[in-house]
This record gives sequence, structure tokens and C-alpha cells, in this order.
Amino acid sequence: MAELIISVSPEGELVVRSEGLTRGQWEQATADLRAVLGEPTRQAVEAEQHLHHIHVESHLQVRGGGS
Amino acid sequence: MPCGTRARLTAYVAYQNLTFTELDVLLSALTDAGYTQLERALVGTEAANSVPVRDKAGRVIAGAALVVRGADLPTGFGDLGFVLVDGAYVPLVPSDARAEQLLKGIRTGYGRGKAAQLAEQARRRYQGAMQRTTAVDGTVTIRVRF
Repeated sequence: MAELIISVSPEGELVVRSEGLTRGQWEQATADLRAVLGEPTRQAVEAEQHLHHIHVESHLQVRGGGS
Repeated sequence: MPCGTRARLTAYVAYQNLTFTELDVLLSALTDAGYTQLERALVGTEAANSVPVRDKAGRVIAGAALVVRGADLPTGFGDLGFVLVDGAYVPLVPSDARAEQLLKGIRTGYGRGKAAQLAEQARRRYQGAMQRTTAVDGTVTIRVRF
């Protein structure tokens, strides 16, 4: 589950926050924002959770058959 | 192995003062704020800033692309103009202590309009569910979950 959280303060400050978007999704979202709103006043990556891949290698041993 | 674009982020971008670049969002913010006496340039002629802006004495002091007439504004305020400069509607207000408060309300309305637009785009893109809440202090939060 991921969330994009958009908030507007009573002073009119607009903040767009990513909670769990992939880096690719976030980069696309911020590129879209820059195209529409220009450069943000502040920005930060507060945490980055890396996905760890497990590689399973299987070895097949072929033996000569014969009955 | 690096995760590249698959890493998941907690991150934010913040826009302290949005520039009024979108006329439809600005018009919506103004009407939501209760302004009804709006005069705008004909479509396609906005850059000419030809709509007269009057001061509290009724003298034409400038031209703008969009004008909120003084009848909608505090007594003695005159008109509130928005001059189209380099793609942005720049407010033209009298040097009046009430101007900042008035603009703050319009900025907040514009931000809310823009936030709703961005959230709807995100909802469609990610086929998510949208939830809007308003806090006691007036902060509007829209969550798009997917």
C-alpha cells in the first residue's frame, strides 16, 4: 500500500508527500509537479527503503541414464 | 544489487507560495471565496491586460486580465486586479493593510483547488482511493491510497 498525501495549510502552503511510492513513481510525480508548479520551496527524501532481492539458483545435474 | 527506481520513499516537496498560473483554478478560488463581481478579458486577449482597474475613488490606475470589482471587497478598497505577466496572474492590490489578509484567503483557495486537481490526477493514474479531511486549523489533506 502506498500513499500520496497532498495538504494545503491555512497559509496556502501546498505540500505533496510520498509514503511508500517507489522511487520511479515519486520521480514521475515530482517531474509532473515541476511542470505545473515550478521549483518547490523545499524538498527532502526522509527515508528510502530498499528492496532486497533473493536470487535462487538451481543446478540441475544430468546423469547418464540407462536401466 | 542496487534497487534503482524500485526503492520506496518517504519524501516531500513543498510550495510555500503558489503562483497563480491557471485561470480556471484562480476563478474557482475567487468564486468559492464569495467574489461574484468578476470581469475578465476576452479569451485570447488576456495578455493585453485591458480590463480597467479602479482605485477607491473610481480612477483607472492600471489594466489587468482579471478584475474583482470593489463592490465585492472591503469598503474603500477599490478593485483587485490580476495582471498577466509571463504566464502568471500577478495580484495588483492597493497599499492597504487588508490586502495581505485578502490575498492569503485567495492563495489558500487556489492551493486547495490545485490540491484537488493534483489528487484527482493521482487517483486516475494509480487507480487509487481518495480521502479528503479538514483539520481544526483549516489544513486540508487529501490522501490517495493505492
